[in-house]
Order: sequence, then C-alpha cells, then structure tokens
Amino acid sequence: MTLDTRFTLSRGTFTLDVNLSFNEGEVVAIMGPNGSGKSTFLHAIAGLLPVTSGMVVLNGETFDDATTEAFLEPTQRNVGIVFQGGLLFETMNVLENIVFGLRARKIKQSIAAAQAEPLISQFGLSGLLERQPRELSGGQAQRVAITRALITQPKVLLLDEPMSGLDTSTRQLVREDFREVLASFAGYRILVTHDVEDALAIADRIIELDHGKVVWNGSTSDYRNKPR
Amino acid sequence: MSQVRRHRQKLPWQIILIASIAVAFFLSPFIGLLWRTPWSKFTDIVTRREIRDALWLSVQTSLITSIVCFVFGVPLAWLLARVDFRGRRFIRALMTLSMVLPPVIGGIALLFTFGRRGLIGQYLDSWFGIRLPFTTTAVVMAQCFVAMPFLVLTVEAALRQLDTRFEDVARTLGGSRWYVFRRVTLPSIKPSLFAGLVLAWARALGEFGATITFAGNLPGTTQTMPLATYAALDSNPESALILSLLMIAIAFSILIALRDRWLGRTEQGLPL
Amino acid sequence: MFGRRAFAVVLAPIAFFTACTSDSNTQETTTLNVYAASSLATPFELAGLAFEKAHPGVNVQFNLGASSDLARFVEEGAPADIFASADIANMDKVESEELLDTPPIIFATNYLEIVVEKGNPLNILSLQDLTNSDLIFITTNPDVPIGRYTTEVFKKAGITIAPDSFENNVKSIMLKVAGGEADAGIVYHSEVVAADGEVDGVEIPSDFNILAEYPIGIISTSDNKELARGFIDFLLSPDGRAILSQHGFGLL
Repeated sequence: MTLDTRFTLSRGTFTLDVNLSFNEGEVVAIMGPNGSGKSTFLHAIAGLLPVTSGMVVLNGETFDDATTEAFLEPTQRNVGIVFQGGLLFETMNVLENIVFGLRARKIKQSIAAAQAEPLISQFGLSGLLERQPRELSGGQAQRVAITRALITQPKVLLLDEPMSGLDTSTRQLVREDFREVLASFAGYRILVTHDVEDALAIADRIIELDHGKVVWNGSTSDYRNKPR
Repeated sequence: MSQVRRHRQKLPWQIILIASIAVAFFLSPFIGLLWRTPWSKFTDIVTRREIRDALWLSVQTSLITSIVCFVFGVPLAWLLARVDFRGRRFIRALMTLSMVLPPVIGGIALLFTFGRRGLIGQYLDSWFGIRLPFTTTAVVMAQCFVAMPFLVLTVEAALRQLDTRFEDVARTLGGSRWYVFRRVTLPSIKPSLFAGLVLAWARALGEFGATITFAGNLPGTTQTMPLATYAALDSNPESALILSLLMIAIAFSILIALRDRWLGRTEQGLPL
Repeated sequence: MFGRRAFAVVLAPIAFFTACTSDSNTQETTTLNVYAASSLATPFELAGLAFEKAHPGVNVQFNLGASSDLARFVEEGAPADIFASADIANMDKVESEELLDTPPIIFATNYLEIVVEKGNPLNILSLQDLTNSDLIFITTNPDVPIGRYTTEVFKKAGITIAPDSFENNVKSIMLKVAGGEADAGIVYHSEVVAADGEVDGVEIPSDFNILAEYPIGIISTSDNKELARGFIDFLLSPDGRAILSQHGFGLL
C-alpha cells in the first residue's frame, strides 16, 4: 500500500517536480525554505491544485492524472489537512468545528456529536466543546484542528507547519503531545515544517525540497548524521 | 535644550479647520431643511393617503431590491473574487460604471432594453404578454440596477480578504462547494455582507432618476418617496419638505440601528 | 431604430444648445439667460441663433424644462433674464413674487392634440377612445401646464381617465409615446409638429380643446434688461413669428 506522487505542477514561473512514494504508517517530514514548494505539494495531494503533468495515486486509486485528465475532487479524496494555527472556522464553536466533516455528509448534529465522542475524549477536548476558537490556546486549537481532520477517518493526514506560531516554551510540550496524536493515527502522515528540531523529533523519514526539486530523501537517522 | 516634558498630542489646526468646513457643508443642508419645515402640519401631511402609499411602496420595493441584490449579487461577488475567468475585469468595470452613471441614463437604457419595444422587452411582450414599464416590477429593476453594485463590490472585497485556506480545509472535510459557501464563506463575511446590504438598500430607497425614467410615476404603483417628494415640490412645497425629512429620518435611524446591531464591534465592512 | 429617432427628438435641443455655447469665444460675450418651457425648445433655439447672429458678442443660454420647475428656480433666485412659461399660472407665481420687470406679454398660443405611436396602431380616434383601461395613457403632474390642461380637457369632455404615469414634462411623454412604451398622451400641437412624423397626432374637437397662452416676461433682477427686451422684440417681429408658426405655434 503506497501513496505515489510523480508529477510536475507549475504556477507562474515556479515548477514543482517530484517523484516520491510514501508508505502507510510512516511519518514523513517535508522540509525546505519558503517557496521551495512544500505547501504546493500538500495542495496537490489534497486536490486543492491539479497537477500539470504526471499523477497522484493512493493505494491504486487515481487521484489526479494529467494524461487522462482524471481528477478526484478534494471532497472525495478523504485526505485530512491541518494548517498552521489550526485555521478553525471562527463562526463555529469547537464541537461544530469537529463535526463539520460529518455534517457535510448530511449526518444529523446529534448523531454526529455521538459519533465524534470517542475522538473528543481521546484528545481530551470534552471540556472545551462550547468554546469559541478565539478562546483556545495555540495547542488546544491545534488539537481541535487535528480532531476535525480525523473525524472523517481519512487515509492521509497532511500537516502544514502545524507547530509554527507557537512560542518556544510551549513548543516542547506540544511536540510531545503531537507525537502522541500522530501515533494514534495509522494512515499516511505527511508533515511540512521548516523547523529541523520538529522534523527530527517526529518524523521517520525526511524529505528536503528546494526550488521545487527534491534535494534529500532519507531516514531521520541518516539526516541527523548528514554532513552539513 | 534638554526638556523632558511630555508632549501633549498637538492636533494640526489646519486639518481641523478644513475638515470642519467639510462637516459644515454636509450638515448645513439638513439644518436648512429643518429651518423651513412647517412642523405644525407634520402629522397632517404624513398621514395623507398618497404619502402613506409612497412610503409603503418605498419600503416594499427597497426591501425586495435588497433581497434580489443578495440572491444575485453574492454569487456574482464570489465569482469575481474566486474565479479567474476572461471578462472578469470587464464585469467589475460594468459594476463600477453603473455606480457612477447618472441614474437617468440607466433608466433610459432599461427602457430601451426592457420596454415594450425594447431589445428584450419586445419578446417579453409578444411571447408572454409581460410589460414592464409603469409597473412596480420596473421600480425594483431600476433600483437593482443602481443598488446591486454596492453589494457586489463590498462583498467581493471581503471575499478577497478572506483566507482561502478556510474554504480549502472545508473542501477536504467533504463539503461540497455550495455547502462550504453557505456554512463557511458566508458566515465569515457576515459583517461586510450586512454592510453591502445596507448600502444597497439605502441606494434603492433614494433611487429617483432611473425609476422615473423607466417605471414612470404613478401614486401607489411606481411613485416611491423620492418621486412623491419631487412631485410635491410644485403643488405643495411644504409636504416636499416634510417628505424629505421623513426620508432622512428613516434612512438615518436604520443606518444607526444596523450599525449598532450588526456592524458595532467589528472593524470589517464599511465604517458606517 | 425607433430609439435613435425618438432619442433625437429629445436630444436635438441639447445638441443645439451646446453648439450655441461653444462658438462664442471670439470676444467678450454677454450671456442672456432664457428660461423657457420645454415645449418652446426648438423655435427658441432657432430664434436664439438668429438673435446671436444679429447681435455679435451675445450668447443666448437656454434653460429648458417644465414651466413649474423653471418658475421655482426663478423664485429661488436663479440668474434668469427672461422667463417664458407654457401657461399663465406659473407666470402668475413669478409675478406675485414681484420678480417681473414689466407685466408679461402673450407671444404665442398652442392647442392640444392626442399623441399616439406612429401609424396609430391602436386606432385611437377620439377622447372617448382613451377611456379604455388597457391602454397606457401618460400625462404629467397637474402642476406642469400640460398636465393641468389635460385635466381640463377631460373635464370639458366629461370623461375620467386614470393615467398610468405622471411624467416629469412634455418631452418625457413624447419620448415614451414615440418609443411605443406608452400608447397615448395629450400634448401640444407644436410637439407633434416638432416630432416630424415620428408620432401621429389625433385632433381634439375645439369644444373640448383649450387655448394655451405662452406669456414671456423680463425678470426684475436681470442685469441685461435691454438685451432681454431686444430678444422679446425679435420674437414678436415677423422673423420671430415665422419661426414660431413654422413650429406649430399660434400667433395672436
């Protein structure tokens, strides 16, 4: 079972050109400076941007194929995504945020809430359900965002800079927390970060991008010993 | 000189002076109106049937216009803000054009398009027997023509400022475009949406030129408050004054009420 | 197609007007401000051109509109030298404010006709035909002379008609009837003449018709009273009367 990404994606003068494979159960960190194409890569997997050439295939199912013009909408890919700061819907409370994916599938509020209950208690959010997003700490918002992404039981979890914007004192705590959270999910996990410490602490494998090209692809331990 | 005195903020008097002239310019016409108002006849005039008719017609048509502007204007604003298509700049220019165009010209254009012999109106008449000029529908059309751009441009600006990643997340969670638009996009721009609606409504309420040209002027059917005010200028200047005051009072109180209700605590939208 | 022609009916005076004002930059000019009922537009503009030709350095500026609007402007102190009204009532208003230099003079007359779309598709032949409620009949506010005259005509004929719209002025009635948006209206004979075949006129019997008298007067606040008197004299001269009668106005 693999997630295969072999494509180019052009936006203006920038082109992302990758040929990468991911294994189920693996935590992969994608690193690189700003503008290296990290976020674009996640967008292509989630279906928020179509590829220019090549394809994206998950477990044999074609997500996007430029030659046949097959394109699966983001709504049908079952790929969860978590952005920096959580990006919770500000007009909804915590519970409404968490069950959004179920409500979008026309599941009644009461049933959705019951269905979400195990995840909510697993992530220790039971006491926060009535809160508004702006009343949450950075770490709490992050947990809510991950719960929201996991509620629809995605096969892939994409995390775009989930820990930036948090102050250094809470960062260590959140990182531990985060590792736990990621461990509870068995699918494909791809994390974009520009922080080496985060990557080393969480990932099994590290991929480094620069100017749209892969410049490093290897295990975390190899990366640690990589000459700089 | 080593003064450690805390400077009190000194306001530039030149700016204050010029700004005061601007304020006086806007305020004095209202005072002039109040000064000439025959207060003793106020209740007598506002309870007259033709005035009540005009008031009721204005309320009805401007509210219907607001609804129509919402139903058609919001999707258009979304399209302009989110989809990069050919002709987008043209449509935006078109919106601005109808905002700056003298409304009478809009009225003539509507007449030559939707009139009985107009480009589209001739078919409406011969195929469906629909005649628009001199009807209340024409009043609403004239109002929409001048008012909708206010809503579209306000909402479009708000949509542009909204982080598209909120919609991205919602899409990956399984929300269809329509569901995301309703549940995520619209609630996020609520303050601007209300600002746009209020602006469009206010513009519709004050509409004169396009209405009289396209819809005509018939008490009870097409004679809105501004038209009644204009008609009264000749026959009865006193009621024209009182009608003017009435319109100012309605517009002003609703703007104030809505500001407190919907736009109060937010920095978004228009600084009403 | 009709639109362009109908449009021309309304816009021609404006084009004239701009043409008059633009070529007067050769020397120091005196501007004569003439406030005239919109039904007088074409003959007055022609008279203005002739007057300017005879008086170099004079620029005749017209403000054309409903007599009731113009009377109000004059009362509010607009810089008018001459006021020509389409009825006595609006002139009386100005006179009663003591804004006239001398008593007004009647310089032209007019009578009314039913105006219908070119070819008279609905076959309207009499005032009685206007009582059909399916018909779109438009007039002006009763304060505009044509609106009041229309009411008088109906009263004389003993019929009641509910108009579909009270337009701003007679030009607006002409525009909408010529364009086919309205079926009929009652306007001055001179308007039908001025439309030059774009509309048809249906005669109103003299028993029910009215004689509209056009008074003209010099405004007491004018700085150009001599010139104003000159313009009025020109209107009363054979040349002036010829222009007026060509455009469907009656003379006393």
